[in-house]
Amino acid sequence: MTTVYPSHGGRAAFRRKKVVQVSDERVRRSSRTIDVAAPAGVVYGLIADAERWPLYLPLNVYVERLDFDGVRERLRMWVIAEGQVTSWMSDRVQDPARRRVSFRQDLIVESTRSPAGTWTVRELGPDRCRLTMDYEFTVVDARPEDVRWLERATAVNARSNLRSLRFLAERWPRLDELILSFEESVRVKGPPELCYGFLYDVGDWPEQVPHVRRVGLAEPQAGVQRAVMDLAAADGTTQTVDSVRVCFPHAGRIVHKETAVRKLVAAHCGEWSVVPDETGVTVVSQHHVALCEEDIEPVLGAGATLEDARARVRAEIGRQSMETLRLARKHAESAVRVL
Amino acid sequence: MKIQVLGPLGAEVNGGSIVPTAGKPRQILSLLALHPGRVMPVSVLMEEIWGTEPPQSALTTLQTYILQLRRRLGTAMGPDAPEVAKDVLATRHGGYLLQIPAESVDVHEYERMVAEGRSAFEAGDDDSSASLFRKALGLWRGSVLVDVRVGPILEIEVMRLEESRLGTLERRIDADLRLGRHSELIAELIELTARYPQHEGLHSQAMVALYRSGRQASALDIYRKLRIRLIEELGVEPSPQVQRLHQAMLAVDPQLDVAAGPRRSSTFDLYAA
Repeated sequence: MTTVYPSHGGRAAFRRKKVVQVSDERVRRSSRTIDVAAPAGVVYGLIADAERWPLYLPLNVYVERLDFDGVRERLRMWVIAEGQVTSWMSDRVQDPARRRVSFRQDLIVESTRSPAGTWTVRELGPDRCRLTMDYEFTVVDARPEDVRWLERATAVNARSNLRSLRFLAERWPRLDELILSFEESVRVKGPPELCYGFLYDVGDWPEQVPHVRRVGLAEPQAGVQRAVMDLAAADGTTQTVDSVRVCFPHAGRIVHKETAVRKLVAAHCGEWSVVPDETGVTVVSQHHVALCEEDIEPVLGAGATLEDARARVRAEIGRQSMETLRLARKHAESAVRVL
Repeated sequence: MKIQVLGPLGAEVNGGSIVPTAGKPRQILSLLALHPGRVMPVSVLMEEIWGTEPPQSALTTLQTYILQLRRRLGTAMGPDAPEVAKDVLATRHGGYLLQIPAESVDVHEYERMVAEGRSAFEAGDDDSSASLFRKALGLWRGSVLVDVRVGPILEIEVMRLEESRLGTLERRIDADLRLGRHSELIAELIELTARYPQHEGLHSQAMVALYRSGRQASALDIYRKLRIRLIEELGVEPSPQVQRLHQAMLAVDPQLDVAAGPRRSSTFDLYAA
């Protein structure tokens, strides 16, 4: 299971045109369109809700909303582009009346300027709309390979985003039941640094955390981990989960996004946070999960419901988180304090 | 991280601004940034925000602001490898501290250059001294924390820094006068004496600059107007230093023409007893 949302191939849904202007500065433009069998307002809502994108969009790892006044917002995004975790700032303007969200990104690739774009949702009927994503950037003396990289990454990500948004929007009547968010926490009387250290050292988990059987870990960039974990489920079976973890030691946070998910799950992301206060530390594990309807009967048996799937996923992820949190507490509280 | 308080509040991490938009978190960030690496007691932060009558929920509200700031700063600082958390905004017995190097805040750079400028002045290196003071003043982009609501604690800091700015300006002009730049200073000093009509140091400098440019009458006029103003507004005579400077001008004292005498004093103290 490597793609999070099933792709709906076969439909000639993408129309793409590219205009190249000739001058000293070359403007690259692209435009992609997809028709969605859902109300325009639903699609717009998914685009406006950028903080949820890690759950909605397979290539989106994490979004931090820095400012939002109801119309203008400033976002910091971590996204998988061409297999690498990349980050940029995005200034967006929301226009719900016209169902448009325009955005301007800071430099992604050197020597390109003003990457910017617009999401537009046009109503075609009560349950039908057309979603368009326009994107452009200016090339100034950029290396051709950088330009190609950006064009390729933009194309792949735009296609993936449009497909995922359509997939979600077309399930809108059940979206609330398909998505679940929850958290577990423990109180620790020990140093926050040790709690964080335990959560960061995911490579050591197989020796310490019973439900983790194996971890393959790579840290291609400082603080950006890619972990492949074999996890023991309650029924004794093993499931493999791949995730990207972005570690923020200055904030005591590790955000994670599963890129290959467990059974019953279509998307999964979350965060570990170490929150010190006057009297101790609270360590929190937060999860956002979108369930995979197509898995329910094959996994849970004929007649199993969405409610059964919710309960199963909630219990399993909750149990595993709690186990890890308790071990983090034990690690922090039992440490012999030198000095 | 780069924090600027000498002007509008600025805080940049990896090229992006992380200044909060809400008023109270801006106050907290300003106060913590003025004391990097030092614990700011909870009581001081509460007094800054709510004065002497904090609401019942003050402590909880303060903790919420701190957590928001910590998250904002720490996340903007980006992913980092070290295994242990090294909180940028840490909780320490009864207070909070911003764990950033002092050099990250523009005040530190300003004060360092002012101190170096002063040493250069004492060492007789008027050239370096003038240029260091000029650079230090160049860090200012407006009045201190001009876009931050200031409470009783920040108000003291703002006053201290504005005084320091004025003092540095006066010292820079002293060094420029010693370098014989009197005629270039006249326009600036006319503006400064208008903005600070009771500031005797700046008036002494204006008098000396005009006198050395061959404009005794204008120099004496500056004194006359200062004296009238001080008598009318405060009921006092100018200080003895300025009075003696005036006497020396009337007597055409040759010492007045010595731009850089051996005595390393301010222009104001040229005729100190």
